[in-house]
Order: sequence, then structure tokens, then C-alpha cells
Amino acid sequence: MNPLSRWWQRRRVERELAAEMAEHLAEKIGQLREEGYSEDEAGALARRQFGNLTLLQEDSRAAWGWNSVEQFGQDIRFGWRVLKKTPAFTATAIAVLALGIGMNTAMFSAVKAVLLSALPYPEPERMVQLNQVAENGHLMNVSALDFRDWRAQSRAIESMAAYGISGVTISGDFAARRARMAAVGSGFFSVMATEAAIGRTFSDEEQKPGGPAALVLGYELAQSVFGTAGAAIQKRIRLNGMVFTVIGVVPPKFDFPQNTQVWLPNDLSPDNSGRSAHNYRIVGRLKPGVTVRQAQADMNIVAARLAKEYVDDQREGIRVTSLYDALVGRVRPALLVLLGAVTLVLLIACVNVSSLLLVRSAARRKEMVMRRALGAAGGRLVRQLLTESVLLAAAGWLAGLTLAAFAVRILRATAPADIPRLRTLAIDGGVLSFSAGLSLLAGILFGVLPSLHSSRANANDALKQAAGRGEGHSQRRWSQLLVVGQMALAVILLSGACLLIKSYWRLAHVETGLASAGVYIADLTWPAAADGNSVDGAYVRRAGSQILTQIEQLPGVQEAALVHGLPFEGAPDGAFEIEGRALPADPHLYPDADYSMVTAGFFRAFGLPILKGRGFTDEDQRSSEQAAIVNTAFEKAFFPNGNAVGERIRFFGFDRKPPFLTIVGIVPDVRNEGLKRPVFPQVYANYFQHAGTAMDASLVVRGPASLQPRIKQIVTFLDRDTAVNFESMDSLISGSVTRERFQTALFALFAACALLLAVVGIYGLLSYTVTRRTSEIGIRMALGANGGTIARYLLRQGSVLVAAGMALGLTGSLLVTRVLESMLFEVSATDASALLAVTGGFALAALAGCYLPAGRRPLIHQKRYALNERENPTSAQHARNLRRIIRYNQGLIAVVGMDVLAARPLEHAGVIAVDVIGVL
Amino acid sequence: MPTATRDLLPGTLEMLILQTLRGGALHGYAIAQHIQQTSQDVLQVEEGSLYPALQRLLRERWVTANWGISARNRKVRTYKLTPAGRKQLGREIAGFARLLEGIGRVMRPAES
Repeated sequence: MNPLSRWWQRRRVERELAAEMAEHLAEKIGQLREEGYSEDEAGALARRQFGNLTLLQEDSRAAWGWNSVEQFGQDIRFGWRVLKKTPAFTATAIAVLALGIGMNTAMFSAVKAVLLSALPYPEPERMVQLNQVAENGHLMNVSALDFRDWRAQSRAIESMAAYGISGVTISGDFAARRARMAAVGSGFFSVMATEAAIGRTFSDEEQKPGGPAALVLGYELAQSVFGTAGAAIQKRIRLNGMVFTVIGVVPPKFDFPQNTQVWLPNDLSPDNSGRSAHNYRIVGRLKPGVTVRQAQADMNIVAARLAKEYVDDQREGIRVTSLYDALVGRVRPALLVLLGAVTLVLLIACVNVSSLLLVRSAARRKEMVMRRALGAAGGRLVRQLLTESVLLAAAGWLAGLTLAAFAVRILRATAPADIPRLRTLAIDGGVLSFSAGLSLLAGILFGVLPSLHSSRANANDALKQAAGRGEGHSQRRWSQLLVVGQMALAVILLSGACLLIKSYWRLAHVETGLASAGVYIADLTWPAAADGNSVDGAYVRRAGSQILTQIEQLPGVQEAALVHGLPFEGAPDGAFEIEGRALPADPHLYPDADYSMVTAGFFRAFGLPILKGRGFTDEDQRSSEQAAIVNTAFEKAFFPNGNAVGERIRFFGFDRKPPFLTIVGIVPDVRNEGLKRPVFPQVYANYFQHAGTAMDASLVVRGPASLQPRIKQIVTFLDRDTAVNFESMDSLISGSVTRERFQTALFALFAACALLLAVVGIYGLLSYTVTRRTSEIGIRMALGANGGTIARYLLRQGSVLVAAGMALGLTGSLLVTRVLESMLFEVSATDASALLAVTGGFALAALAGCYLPAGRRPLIHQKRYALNERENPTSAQHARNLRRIIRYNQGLIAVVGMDVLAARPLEHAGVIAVDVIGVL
Repeated sequence: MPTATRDLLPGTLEMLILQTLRGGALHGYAIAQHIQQTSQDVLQVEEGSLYPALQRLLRERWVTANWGISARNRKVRTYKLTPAGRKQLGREIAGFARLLEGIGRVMRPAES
């Protein structure tokens, strides 16, 4: 018989044992009868010798090793009954746990999606990103020439591929739309070790200059445009007006570079600007068994060799980063901090439930004493109580999963695009087992203290308490400790939240320098010229002017402009020379400025006044002299005497022999590098004078949003292959801080939960104190304490705990908030005002938690039974009166001012008052 | 002086039961009676020890149990030695003999 079938037969074994023993007993009685005992005597003697039948059966069954399993089943049934008997307690505990477990589950699924999931490519640990690294540690893209040398000379990296990314408008027999595109060099898909899911990837022929115009589509895009991914193959679609044939569709999970949906072949022809044209990103695959560190050492050798060979323009090093780190390294600290915060919330929830259980354990003390008296071992009671708390945790887990499912949906909808892979989060098997394990752990964690406490119940104490003397000393001390602990943890979280909120507020209120309200932006791409790699300048000038003129004629539009290199979107920067000044010998010390191209309306649209000189005019377009407008920071940096107007500068790298730009005006600074970074010197060139150099532009319109459909018509009438999606400049700016907003909101949510739990904790403790001490409070009131005194007494008790919790929490937060440092913007991790706000806010909330039960002191029913000497009743009359009052007040608790036993008034009392205090 | 079986060395009761069953199948009450009588009342088998011991023997498959009719014509569960039980009895007897010998060596000097 195997253990399982034995288990199923245990009922039969039990029945047989019982029958057998009954038989045995009968036989024994028979024997004794034969020996001459009377029937009663024989029965009694036999039973005495036999001992406890039930225990004997249990011992016999124990031989089979079923008891522990059976007891577990009993404990669960019993625990369930106990929990059902106290629905308010059970519901509170489950709600608290569900909050903690649910948020942890959701957060963990986010961490799993972003940090723990392997990259969806074969052998992802071998994949690396390669960058050029400047002396200041800044990572840069790589020139085609350098890439070729790296690929030829590296010994640790099996294969490398270069790619560039850009935005593109795709069109065809469907509505034009914008997508992210990667132009990939040969070998890209083999580095990624990915085959097309349908069709194929690029052939060598297609990778060559002038090869067939082929492209590969993302699975999602192919599906949404053509219905099924398979239908996309051999379809012709236009990219910026150029026709391409779809030759393949990548697998659904393929997402490299991030969010890309279109892949084109790129022949990587080295452009004129040589090694300083940092145009390409590099992805590589290490040889099997090679570590990132070894590859770094190998590339250091390559970098040193190249530096010797090209002394003039090769001073940068090479940085090898694992692709995983390159992808998620930036967001890891923030996610881990959030995970830590949410773990603290769970910890608070556990402490909270623990103190609830502790309170309940006092109420169950009599039960525990009874069970011990009946022979239950201490360990057995601990096990049963732990089973109860695990049962609670299991219920909390189920409720928490519901909450988590909801939270995950919200997270997915609000996930900022710059947290990679967050949108893939889901509650899968791994998350489920994690949260189940977490719940079990939580159940044991919050159950262990109360169960140890209860199982040690001592009959003597319990009897004393049964007399209504309030809670036990040690239980009260533990409850207070738990409440203080909860508050300390909550204060730590709140401090963190306050710092992040202050930081985010600073970030959101950075003076942008732009009058951005009421300005809308749409990205445009000009149709490619015949050679496919450039645009026709004359066409752009003609079409651009037409578009701007027609838009400005619309009623309500105040201004329209074209921009390349919009502030906040990372305008390119470049080195330049100033006419008449010698360049420093070291190219790294060349003057440097951001470079944008704008039309004349740009400054008016954004409310930027011309401080000196003039703005762009139509004259500029006809003039051979190229005009430039610079910002104040530029003038301060390079012309500290304030005479920049009329000076000429020349950027490198845009052309072989770039013409000089003449500075014609000065405008105020804007935060061109984004909200987090200081203003950088900026040069604005005239868009129309450089019309052939940029394939795309942002259309800037100051005017009512209701005109957007009209503007769309105007643009698409000129070029039907253009997708026009408007976004307000304000949302563009706030979009640059979505990650900060996201993490601040999450952290603040966690801190709010922590605060709620801590306040509920202290509220619970004090309400319980009030309930347990009704009689004490009643006596105090009878002795003359009024409601205010009692409330003050309770508040004093509460505020000692609040003060202790806050002191502990503030000390803790000074130690812990340091981990937030990298997430803070212009706020120190020990920012006094934020910590002060936490202290004040927390104290208020916690004292409110204290005040509620203090204000809700027990309803004390007072009856004044007054007698005076004139009536001079006899003792017997007193006793009768008193008995009547006692009967009337069923819940009589204290009789004060009278000798109760004798029912006789105390001496020396002129008017004797008997307060009968009953609890309603 | 009678000795209750719970004072015996661990495992001894099982050995006594197996030895008792060597003579043929018996039910619980009869096993207890047999041990008591054969030991001339030196050993008294308590029910509290007998039934757990029988369950252990069943679990090890050294005995089997069947419902039968006792000498007093009552429906009882009788226990019967299995071949495995017989082997086990042999091992236990050998072990017990060694144990007795050891105890004897320790006790002899005190007696002399």
C-alpha cells in the first residue's frame, strides 16, 4: 500500500480500530464479571484500566503518520470559523494585506518586465552596445570610418553592426502615419540572431549602395496596416514619398532599436566629415565565453592603436556596455527604489495586521488558557495560530491579486515611453508564485509575534484580566512598539515622497523661457529628392513658404513657423570658429553651441523678443549672406563685451567649406537642452537659407487647436504622403519629464498608503485601549473627570507614541533618503523644508488618528442617585434602591461614593451621590 | 512484581507480540492475556501500548489483520505473523540475546 492509498483508507482504519477496541473492552468486562465483579464494577474497572479511549485511538492512528496532515486540516477549518466569527477584524486585516500584497505584486510585475526578463534574442548575455566615450565620460555615436576599423580589429567581438535611427512618414494605400525607423548596416539581423518571422531579412545585394529598395516591417505595424503580417510581403509602401518593397516582417517580440517598426538597409558610405561624424549606433555580439570586461580590454587596445594612427581627430576611447545595461541601466535605480518603497508598505501592512492580531489575542486569552488546561502543548497552539494568520494571508493574497490586476492595467496605460519594456508587464506565473510566496512569508511574519504571545497565555493573568483590569502589560508594550514601528516606516516613506514631490515641482516649474501655451507642433518630413538621400532645397523653400502663408491666413492663427531642432528635443550641437579669432590648438576646446534652423515666425510664435539687432526677414532668402540669431548665453560666453551682432561664425562638419553665418540679432535664453540641464549657447540659422540640409521639420503654430484639421488639409494637399499629428508644446515639455512624474506619483501613492496604514494603526490601538479601559474611564469620569480630561489623557498617550515614531522615522529617513539622491532635481536628500513638511503633516494626521477614538470615548450612562440626610432612609431602603438601580442598569460597572456591600452612605456626606455607571 | 509494558525497553513489546503470534493468529485481547499469563503476571500489557504497537507492526507488514470469530464466539480482529514478521522476529531475538548478555556482564560483578 503506498502512502496515498493508505491516506484514503484512513477512515476505514479508524472505524476498525474503534470496533476492535470496543470489542476488547467488552471482552475485558466479561472476564472481570467471571471473576465475580458486579456489572457496574467490572465496567468501571475495565474502563479505568483501558484509559482514555479517544487518546488511545489517536495514538494508534499516529503510528501511520497522519496526524500532522489531519491537524493541519483541522487548523484550517477551525481558523476559518474563528475568522468568520469576527468579520470586522477579518475584513480589516484582509483589506490591509490586499493593499500591501496587491501593490507589491503590481510593482514586482513591473520590475520583472523591465529588469528581470531576458532580452528577447538568442544568447542575450553576449550582446553589447559600443560607443565612443569622450574624456568627460559622455557616450557618443560612432563614425562609419571608426566602425569599420573597430570591426576589422576587434578580437573579442564576433560580429558588429551599425545602425542609425530616425522618424519617418510611411504611406501607401492607407492613412499616412509616423513611425520610428532604423537604417541598419549589413549583418544587423545576424548580430541580433533574429530571422524574419515571415519573408526574409536583407540580402547582400540590398545592402549595397543603389541596391533594390527593400524594407522590413515590425509585426505590429504590418498587422495594423495590412490586417495580417503575412499580407505585408511584397507590398509597396512609401517612406517619405520614396517607394519600397516589404520583403520581411520581424517576430512580434523583436524590438530593437526600441519602438522601431521599420528597418531599411544602410550602405554606411562614409560621409565627407570623416571620423568626427558621429552618426551611427553600434550593436555587437561577443564571441562565446567572452565577458564584457574582456571585450572592453580588447577594445581599449583598438582605441589606443587608432589614437596613434589618427592623432588629429581620434582622442576618444571606446566603451563596451552589455545591451541589457544599455537598455535598462538608466531606469534600474528608480525601479529598485520604488520596489523598496512598496516593500516597506507591505512591511507596514504586516506590522499593522500583527498589532490587530495582538489585540485580538487578548480577547482570546481565555480560549487559549482553556485549551492549554485541556492539554494542548504550546507548540501546537502556535501552529494553530500561525495557520490562522497564513489563512488570512491567503485571503489577502487573493484580494491583492484582484487589486494587482487592476493596478497592472493602470500601469500599462500610463507607462512612460522612456521606461523600456514597461508596457510588456503582465501578471504571469512568475509573478503569481512570487506574490504567493510573499504572502506566505507575510502571514508567518505578522503571525509569529501574536501567536507566540497567545500561546504563552498564563491562567493567572487571564483570570485577572477576565475581571476587567484592562490589557496585559506585555501585550500593551508590544502593541505600542508595533504602532511606533509602523509610524517610523511611514515617516521614512513620506520623507522620500516629499523630496520627490518637491523635486518634481521644481522640475515642472523650471522657467522654460518659452511662451509655450497655445502653441502646437507637428512633425513633417519633406519628400526625398530623386537620389533618395536629400531633399530639394528649392522645393522646400517653395512648399514651406506656401504652407506657412496659407496657415497664417486662417482666422485666429497668430503665427506659423518651421523649425529643425526644437528646444527640449535635443538640438544638435557642433563646434564652430569665430571669424578673426585663432582656434585653440586642441579641437576639444573649440567653441561649441547648439544649432537649430528656424523661420522668422519662430521667435514671435514662442514670444521671444529680439533683444538686439533684428529677426529673420524675407530679404535673407535672397541675400547671399547667411544670417544667424544667437541667444543671450551665446553672447555672454563668446562675446562678453556684448557686441555679438555683426560678428561672423562658421560651424564645422555640416559641409566641406561651410559659409560664415553673420549674427544679426540676439534673443533671450530658452532651456534648449531640456528642463534638467542649464541653458546652452544657441545659434539659430534661417531655415529657408539651409532648406536642403534637413529632411524634416517641425511645424509650429500659435493659434486655436480647433484649426488643426484645416492645417492638416493644407499640408497634405501639398504632400499627400505627410502624416500630421499635432501635439501641444506644453505636453511636449511635460512629456520630457514623464518618467519623473511617473516615479513621483508611484512613490507618493505608496507613501499615502503607508500614512493611511500608520494612522489606522494608531487609531486602532487607541480605540482598542478605550474599549478595554471603559471601566477605568468610567471610574475616572465618576470621580469628576469630564470628557475633555479623558480626551486629553488619551491624546497624551497617543502623542507620546507619535513623537517616538516620528523621531525614529526621521532618523531613519536621514539614513535612507540618500538612495534617492540620483532621482532628485535641485533638492538635497536632506532637504530641511521637505522633512519639516513631513513632520508637520504626519503629526497632524497621526494626532487626528488619536483624536477620533479619544472623542469617541465610551458612552457612559450616568445615573445620579441622590439622597439627603433629611430623608434619612434606612439601610434596607438603601439596599433596595441600589438593587433596583443595578437591575435597571444591566451593565453596571462601578458604584462610587457608597459603601456598596453595606449599601450604606459613607459618613460625613451632606448630600450623598451614587453614580451608577453603565455602558450602553 | 508486575511490570507494565510501557516500562519495557523500546521495541520489546513488538518482539513479545511477534513471538506470541508465532503460535498462531490471535486477537488483541488474547495477545495481552497470553503475554501476561506466560510471563506469570510479571508483564502486564496495557491497552494504551498494545494498539499503537499493533498498528506499527501492521504498517511494517510484519503482521496482517483479519476479522474472525474468537473462542468466546465474538467477532474480533485477529493478527497473523507474515513471513517478513517471522524474519524480523529472528533478528529481534538475536539482538535481544546480545542485549541480555551485555546487561548480564555489567550486572554480574555487582551480584558476586
